[in-house]
Amino acid sequence: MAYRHFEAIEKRTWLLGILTFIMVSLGGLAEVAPLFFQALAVKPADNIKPYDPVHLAGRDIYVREGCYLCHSQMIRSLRFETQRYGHYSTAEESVYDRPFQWGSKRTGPDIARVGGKYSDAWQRQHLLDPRSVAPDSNMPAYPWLAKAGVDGKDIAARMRVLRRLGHPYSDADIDGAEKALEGVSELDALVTYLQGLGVVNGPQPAPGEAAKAQ
Amino acid sequence: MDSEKIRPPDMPGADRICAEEAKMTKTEYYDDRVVRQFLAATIAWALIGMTIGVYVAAELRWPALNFEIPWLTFSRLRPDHTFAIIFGFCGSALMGTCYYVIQRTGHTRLAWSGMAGFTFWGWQLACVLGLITIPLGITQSKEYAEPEWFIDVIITVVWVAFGAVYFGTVARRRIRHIYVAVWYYGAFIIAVGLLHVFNNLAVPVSLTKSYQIYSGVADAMVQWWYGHNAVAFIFTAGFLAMMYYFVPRQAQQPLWSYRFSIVNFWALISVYMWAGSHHLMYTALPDWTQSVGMAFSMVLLMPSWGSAANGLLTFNGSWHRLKSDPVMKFMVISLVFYAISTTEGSTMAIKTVNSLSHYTDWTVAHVHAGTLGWVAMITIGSLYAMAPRILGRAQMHSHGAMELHFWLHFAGAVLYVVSMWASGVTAGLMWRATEPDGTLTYAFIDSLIAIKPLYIVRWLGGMLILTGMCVMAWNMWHTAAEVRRRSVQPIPVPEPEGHHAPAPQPAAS
Amino acid sequence: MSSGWSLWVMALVVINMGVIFFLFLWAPHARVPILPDGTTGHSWAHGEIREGMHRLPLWWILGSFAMFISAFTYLTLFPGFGGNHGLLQWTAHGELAKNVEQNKARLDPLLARLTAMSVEQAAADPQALHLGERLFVDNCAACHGRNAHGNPLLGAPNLTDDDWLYGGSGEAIKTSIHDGRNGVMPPWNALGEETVKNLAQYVLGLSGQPHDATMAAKAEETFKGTCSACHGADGKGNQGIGAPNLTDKIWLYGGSQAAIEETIRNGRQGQMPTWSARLPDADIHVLAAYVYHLSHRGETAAQ
Repeated sequence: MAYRHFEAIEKRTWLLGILTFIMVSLGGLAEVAPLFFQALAVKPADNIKPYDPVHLAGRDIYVREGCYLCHSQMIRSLRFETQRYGHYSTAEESVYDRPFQWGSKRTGPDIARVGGKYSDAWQRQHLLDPRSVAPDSNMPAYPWLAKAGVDGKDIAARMRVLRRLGHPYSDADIDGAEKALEGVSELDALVTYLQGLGVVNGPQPAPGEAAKAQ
Repeated sequence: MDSEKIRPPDMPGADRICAEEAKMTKTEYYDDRVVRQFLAATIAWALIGMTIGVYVAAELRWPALNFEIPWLTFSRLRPDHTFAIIFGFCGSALMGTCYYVIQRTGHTRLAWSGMAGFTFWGWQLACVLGLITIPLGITQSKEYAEPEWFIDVIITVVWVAFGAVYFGTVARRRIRHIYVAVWYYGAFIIAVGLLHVFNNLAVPVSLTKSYQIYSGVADAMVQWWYGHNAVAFIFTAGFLAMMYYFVPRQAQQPLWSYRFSIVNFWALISVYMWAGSHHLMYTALPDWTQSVGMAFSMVLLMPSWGSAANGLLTFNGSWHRLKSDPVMKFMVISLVFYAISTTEGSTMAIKTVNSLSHYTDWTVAHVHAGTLGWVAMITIGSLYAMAPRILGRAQMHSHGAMELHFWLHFAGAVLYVVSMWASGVTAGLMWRATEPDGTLTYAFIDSLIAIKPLYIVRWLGGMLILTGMCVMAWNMWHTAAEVRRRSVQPIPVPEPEGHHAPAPQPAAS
Repeated sequence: MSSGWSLWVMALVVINMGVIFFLFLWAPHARVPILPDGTTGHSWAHGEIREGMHRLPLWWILGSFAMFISAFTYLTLFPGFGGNHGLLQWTAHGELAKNVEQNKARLDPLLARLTAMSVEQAAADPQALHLGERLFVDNCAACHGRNAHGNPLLGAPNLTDDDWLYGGSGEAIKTSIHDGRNGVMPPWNALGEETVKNLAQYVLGLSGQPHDATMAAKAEETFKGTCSACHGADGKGNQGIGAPNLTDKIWLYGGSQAAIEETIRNGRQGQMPTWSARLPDADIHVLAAYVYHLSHRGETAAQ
């Protein structure tokens, strides 16, 4: 290839544009395409269930409030990480996570397996006033969560969209959403979601198993 | 190069002469109105985005600062900070300078002035909508792609229009050879369009809520393919375009090496696109994807160092002006920061280093070495170089204010980056510290207690940066006096100079 | 990964790496025509922008070459070139398993030594206390506080005062951690607000605090008939079911009149989570020793 070939590219807008497009496409074609199409082809294991209405509502509040900006939900396969947080996170666990909430920064600890670690009362108190239970914490308080209710109709609409995207909800699941969310506050829903983290869809170890994996 | 011979025709004095000549012949004028608009927007978004940044930095140390108001809470405002900076500040700066540069390097006016005006107002609309909706909790929660689907649609429409103006203008250029800065602007437009569309594919539930078509691992990969390359094509390719135009002009030297431009361009735009998976080391992403990301991140050093060197070496022969020229100071230090942060980036992509740095403030330090050091400084330098010309002045209003701005910004960036390096390494080491008996040395909360003082240093650094930006805004306001009097003369497009077709000579090397 | 996708990834890696490696080899030697002043003759922006044609620096050529070599070596040794596993057969999970084994080799002797002791004995062992403290801070401090003084907002008991809901022996503490505890104080608002207020005065009286004796007297019958089932006729509590002693001025949810009335009116459901699924038995043993030590500092130091 002689210089004049490069010169030809640099004198033709369309050629420069097309070649640029091709070159910037390669990485995505190699890394994204296989994962995307494999994800479509693989059926999740039987024990992996989509979120029920309360968990889904809680998850969407988690997303709305931006919890992922300080808490990861991804225990990396590193010894000091599994020793602190439990079994490493698996691909199956987040198969119904739209969007994924692995996070990129831990200002607070990882919470992929926080479900059941603390009592409901602790979770509520901690969300309403973090420093009343953890004096050194720099987490903001979220008192408004206790004041707002969850809209069951809205969650049913969300479940219908998720069904179109492949989440196996039955009609009964969706119709039951409104009833399931009656009288549920945003705080209730979020605490339910948090208490399910690592439990709902988590690897199902025998007692002590998760810890032995350290 | 003999700088005495340079008498840019777009100096104000020259304007009037050319303008009179233009009455006789049919001359076209540069379309600088939209560039001035984007210049003003860039300054405004810098002030908005950095003010939010300083506020969230303070919240990390003093969490009561959210006053229990939802939209004032850290987790709602942090994405607002990144959005205002990336889309508002960087987007406006890049679109504005792009319009300026493609006209100058092509000796042509913009292809469609009206559509260029639309891209300005459309972009500002999208940015304002994003700025308002994100703190209200209307978010996709994908980092740097938080705005919901209806804003994504507006962004897409504006971006297509931007691409049309770009390609239309480049197509009607009167200098055949396309300059390297314009290649980078083109790659920036194409890649950002591609990334934006594929990362934001979602099914709406309502106006304010949608679900991604990707889930779990695939979503993570798409997100960091986007997230990393937003860095690559906005923070790197876009600003390299700016660098390639404004650095040689400020240095009054020819660009150091054309052969360097060619290899760096094609390597940089393709290799970057593979590197996103290094954000997901040791996660549930398959091993092969992580490894490919790491391997390409290594090779990425080649065009990164090459681009930094091509810029810095262009100053050869002009280094004596560094002492007295604040614009040159901004440009030189920006390139130094670029070299440092890309080297750091490739280092952090190495698995073992990543296992320490990931999830800590080291990542934050790295990003801000790139944004405060490289992106902001090359932008500020370029805007100081460009502004007088489009504002009808011979130079910026205050030379002293530019010097002051440089030192404020430089000190702020150093405080910020060093404190976050210290914080990140401290936390990373504490998380993995293990006693000889095999138990972990620290509880998580110990690491937070250890880094809290550094959060004050970081906040101070941010305050210095914001103060510097206020000085710039003041300086720009006074430089723009002619614009406010509506007495800026349009600048005529010159006839293309005789194309020096060089006689083939022995190879240069 | 299917072989089709594997080939796909390999092909794209080869194409992209190939293109840039070619450019890397080509750039230093490209024969680009130049003008006598060393520039390419390209000129933009009214002659303000021109291009030089310098040699590429040697450090860049060597550095870039080193990066190509490292990337190539990496993809040879590690998985990443399509479905190829790499010469080292490395996997992230394999590495984790190896590191966990190595760490177990260090940790197991310690844990074996500590679990061979009783909880009370371990409470005097410096290594047990060192490990126990860190486990406590990461897991227990959220409710009981870093200094283990408890938190009345949650009804999390003070662990330093040797007053126990479910018993303070090493084994009882271990059981509390292992299985968790669920406090069940039922709500008594059905008794009517007046009775609730009278009962609160009675309870205040049990621990000898200032109270309204007339109101307390009215509630005596209710206390002896109803509350005594759990708290005992004398109000000294029952460790078998975790009913607290009401005579000792130690309060889970605060000892003010208002707090006591609230407790009677709406009940309390204090919850200590189950740790058996989260922590290995050995860790629980060590934690119990640490907790035992908290209220026996004088004795354990003396031993």
